[in-house]
Amino acid sequence: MDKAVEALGLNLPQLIAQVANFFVLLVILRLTLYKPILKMLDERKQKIAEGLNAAEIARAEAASAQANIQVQLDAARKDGQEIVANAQNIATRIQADAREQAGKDREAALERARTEIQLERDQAIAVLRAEFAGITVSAAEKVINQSLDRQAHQRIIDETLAESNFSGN
Amino acid sequence: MKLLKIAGIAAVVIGWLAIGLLVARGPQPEIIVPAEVITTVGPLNLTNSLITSWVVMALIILISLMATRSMKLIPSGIQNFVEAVVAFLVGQVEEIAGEKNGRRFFMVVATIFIYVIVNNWFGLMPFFNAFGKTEDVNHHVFEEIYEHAHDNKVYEEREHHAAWFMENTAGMTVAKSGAKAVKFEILAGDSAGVATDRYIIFLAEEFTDYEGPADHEAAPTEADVRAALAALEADPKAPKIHLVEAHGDGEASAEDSGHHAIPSATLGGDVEYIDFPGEKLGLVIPLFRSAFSDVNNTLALGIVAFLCIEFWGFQALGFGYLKKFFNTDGIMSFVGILELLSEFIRVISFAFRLFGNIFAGEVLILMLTFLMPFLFVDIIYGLELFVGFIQAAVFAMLTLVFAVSAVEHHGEDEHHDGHEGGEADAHPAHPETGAVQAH
Repeated sequence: MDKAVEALGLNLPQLIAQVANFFVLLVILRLTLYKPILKMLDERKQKIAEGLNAAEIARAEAASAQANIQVQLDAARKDGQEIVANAQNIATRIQADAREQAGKDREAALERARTEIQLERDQAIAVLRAEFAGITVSAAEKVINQSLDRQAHQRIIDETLAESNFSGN
Repeated sequence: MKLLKIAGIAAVVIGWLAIGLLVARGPQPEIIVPAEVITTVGPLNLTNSLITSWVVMALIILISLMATRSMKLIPSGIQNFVEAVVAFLVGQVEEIAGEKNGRRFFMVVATIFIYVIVNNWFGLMPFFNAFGKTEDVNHHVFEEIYEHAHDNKVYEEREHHAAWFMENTAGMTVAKSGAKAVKFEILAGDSAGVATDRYIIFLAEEFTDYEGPADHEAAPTEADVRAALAALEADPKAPKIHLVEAHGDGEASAEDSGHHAIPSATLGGDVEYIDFPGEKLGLVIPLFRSAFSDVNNTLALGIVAFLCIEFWGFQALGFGYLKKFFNTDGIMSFVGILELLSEFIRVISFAFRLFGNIFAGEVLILMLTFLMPFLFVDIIYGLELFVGFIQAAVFAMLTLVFAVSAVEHHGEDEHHDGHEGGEADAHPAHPETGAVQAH
């Protein structure tokens, strides 16, 4: 046994020194290496988890916002379509109204023109008739040379005219 | 063409090996199992392996300080590297021991791993086993024979002293390339006087053309010793033996003059000192030697592992931990005793597994630098890197596995698989399921 110990160089103080070495190293590394690094690793793990969480939330928010926008877009599109349809309706109505109005106006104008024409013709006929009567009387006076009662004359003329069935129509 | 290529490669390899042999050849290695003592401080031998372990400790602490001095959440450089190592170790430990136990065991297991791997890899540095203090072997031999002469003791067992021929035997030096080792042997049963005669013949044989007696076992005769002396005198570069004629109490007179003189059995006088005008006999005591090529250090680490495992066992189970070893449950009481034995045998197996691997690696590298520097040595260096890692991992992982088995409750139903090997195999599977659940 002693021989083996000597051959291997076993030596108690050195053994103790080496055990002490290890514990010294353990304590120092605990302070300078493991604690700060484990703390940092845990911190980073937490940060990453938080980050992922936040990203998840942001993604969900973005998705819901997207859906919202879609809904709004749909609504807007529908509104727009309604508005366009309305406008088209109104336009059609206005057009129809306008056409109707135009028709009426034209009718009215025509009617008015016709009435005016009628009136003017009637007036012209009346003037003509009066002038014709005067001319006829003077002509008859000349022809007959007879002095007749003016009233009698007129009556004869009217009768003649009535008989002649002369009318503006 | 292909043949030419092969021939070319062969030529390069052979040329490379030849250059290596010419310029980079190591000295013939002198394998010394115990770590060499550089100096002593009180009761503590400052061996080269202890010095190396301190240097390595300082290195580890320095790197860890540099890495954690200003830590950032987004790591870079050395912090990144150290964090990766620690994270890897935490992951491994937690995978085997589970989350809760893992954090408890982690620091010791990681320290073992880091300490062992850095020591092993650091031990592959080129200045290891090459640079160091020179020892004057002649002086050493002289002192040793003197002690035996003084106490009038005979040598109880065969002893040998190895040495290299060196220009200088003082101060620090690098081992000389290609130095040839010589070996001086003293046989069991030799008295100091016979040892002195053997030493004279040994010197004559190594430094001159003198051929010693064919029978090395027998004590040298006076004629042989005189012939050896004459041969040494004839060669101006050979060592000169300074004799003082005996006058009754020659030993005492030599001591009076302040010299240690050693008696010769056949010359009838004392050798006062030996002068080396040419090359001297010396040995380089390396300043650095891989810490775990010293059995003290591996044994210390084994004891540390043992202490930690037992501590955790008691911490987890209280005195119930002892039930594993001492119980009155028929055959199980015998198994308990075996368990107890295996706890202690572990320390030895821890120590010698690491020591054997690292020491053998050192010897292999030293041998190959002497026989075939370049090329082959490179391959062995690669292998040693691997061995260094594996041994560190094995030491740390075994500590962890034993620790896990120590803190586990040993119910009555578990006793059937109570032997050590079964446990070591069975346990890693356990916490792994726990780890999976934890994920």
